[in-house]
Amino acid sequence: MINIQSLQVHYGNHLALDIRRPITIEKGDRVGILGSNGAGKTTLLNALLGIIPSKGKFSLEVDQEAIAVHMQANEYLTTVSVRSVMEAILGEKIEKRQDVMDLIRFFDFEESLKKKFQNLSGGQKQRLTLILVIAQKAPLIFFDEVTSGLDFDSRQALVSLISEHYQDRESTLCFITHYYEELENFADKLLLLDKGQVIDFGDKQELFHKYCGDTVFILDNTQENKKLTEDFRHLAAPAHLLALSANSKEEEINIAQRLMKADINYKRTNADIEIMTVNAKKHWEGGRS
Amino acid sequence: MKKLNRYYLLNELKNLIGNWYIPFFGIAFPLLMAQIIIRAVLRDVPETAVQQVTTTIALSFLQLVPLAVVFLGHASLYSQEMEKRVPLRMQLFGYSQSTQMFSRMISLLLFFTFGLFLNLLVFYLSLNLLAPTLQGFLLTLLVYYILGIILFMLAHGIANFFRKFGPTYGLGMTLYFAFMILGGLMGITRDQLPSLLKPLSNLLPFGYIAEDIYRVWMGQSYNWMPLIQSLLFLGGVSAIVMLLSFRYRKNQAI
Repeated sequence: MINIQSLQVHYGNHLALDIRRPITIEKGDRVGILGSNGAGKTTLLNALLGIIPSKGKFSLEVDQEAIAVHMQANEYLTTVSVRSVMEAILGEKIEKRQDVMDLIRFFDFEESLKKKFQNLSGGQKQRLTLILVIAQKAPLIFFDEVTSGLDFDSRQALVSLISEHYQDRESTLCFITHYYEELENFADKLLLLDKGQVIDFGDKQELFHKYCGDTVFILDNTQENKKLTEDFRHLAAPAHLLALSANSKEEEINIAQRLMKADINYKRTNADIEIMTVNAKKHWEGGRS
Repeated sequence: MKKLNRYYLLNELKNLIGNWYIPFFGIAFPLLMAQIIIRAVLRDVPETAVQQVTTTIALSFLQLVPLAVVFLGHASLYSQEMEKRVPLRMQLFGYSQSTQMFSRMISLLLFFTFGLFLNLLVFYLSLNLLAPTLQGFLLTLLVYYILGIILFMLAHGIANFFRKFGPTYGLGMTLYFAFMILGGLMGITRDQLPSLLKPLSNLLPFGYIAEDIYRVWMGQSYNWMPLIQSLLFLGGVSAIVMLLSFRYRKNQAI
């Protein structure tokens, strides 16, 4: 669906995106594109869409026009009703599109049709674009920071709705975000970006094994916990956490028994994207220095 | 890419009506200005010339309709939309830049037509205008439509160049009043303009329309050359401004 051999984007003299390794996104993939602010996530999207100039070798299996995109910020005319905006975009009455009617019900958007865009809440604004983007029935869809500006519950609810909608569909989805938890149940591949460069790209599970081992135990970062676990392999983790890696069942049992015996609360995971990303970034930075 | 359709056009028209300054400056303002100026001027006009002077002034103020609806309206709307990247959003939904531009022009011209005819109707009912010949009526409309299309290009160029409402609206308003002053529509006739401004006034069509459109309206003989030359000049400048803005923004997303 997307084949990138190399891709560079300059903003003036600043090299904002510099991809130098092959990246292939297959039909039906669910790809999470992760990175902090300024990592190049949206720049990558804009380059693929052809709305900013770029250099390099990349190809899309579909025309750029056949890509549906939920941008980070989506604005519409504010002086007309949402219904009028939707009908202008669809080119027909909403009632003539059963799929759109279904989406409106699915996203609980009926009441918002009468309102003007400026009077919608943050969540309703996101839903409007979601409905219109999904209604495009495109083979390749990008969701760029689709939950930005929403509270935690609304974020989770929106991602669940998107996941549910695409559960049995073949569309290729690329989900750009800096919220790791949104990708836990959504992505099967991850593209990790930092400062415009690729940290890594691959299957979510394989990346976890590569950087974290078989399983990871996550617990609070306290002096007691540090001392208790000093003989286990520690991974990089956010400042408030400790992450212990286990590469075999035996090692896993040892860690679990030690923590249970000391009555320490912990989380066992074999898919934590945040811990994996932190370690991938550390590994990548180490390789560069 | 999606084609222009009636729902898109209808949405555009609703948007024009929803922005209060377009109906105000495009419909209410010309009516108001013409009434004030006519009442002031008629005090010194002999009885026999009242109808002719009234018709001349009313027709000259019709220029405010394309100036306000098309020029100011499009410049301010489009710059606001560019600032919020609405055109990019529409492009991502399948409406090309040219389709969006064409749609905006059609909707502005439709609204402009409504404004023109409403102004004419009110002028006719309230000011006892002289009736035109059919040919004169059609030629007068043609002149206003050509002016409207030229002003659309100029507005589009300015808005696309700045892509911000503030500077676009500032320059738009400055040009709007400059065009009115140079066209003799602000209570100062072209003869009374400072000598430095007279050549500039002669280059632009507003003064010719203000002074001569009465002859066209009445089907009288008229030397079209100065008006055509001025329309060509303003059209050329507007086209250059628009093309330069496209060139300037060539490598940037809309």
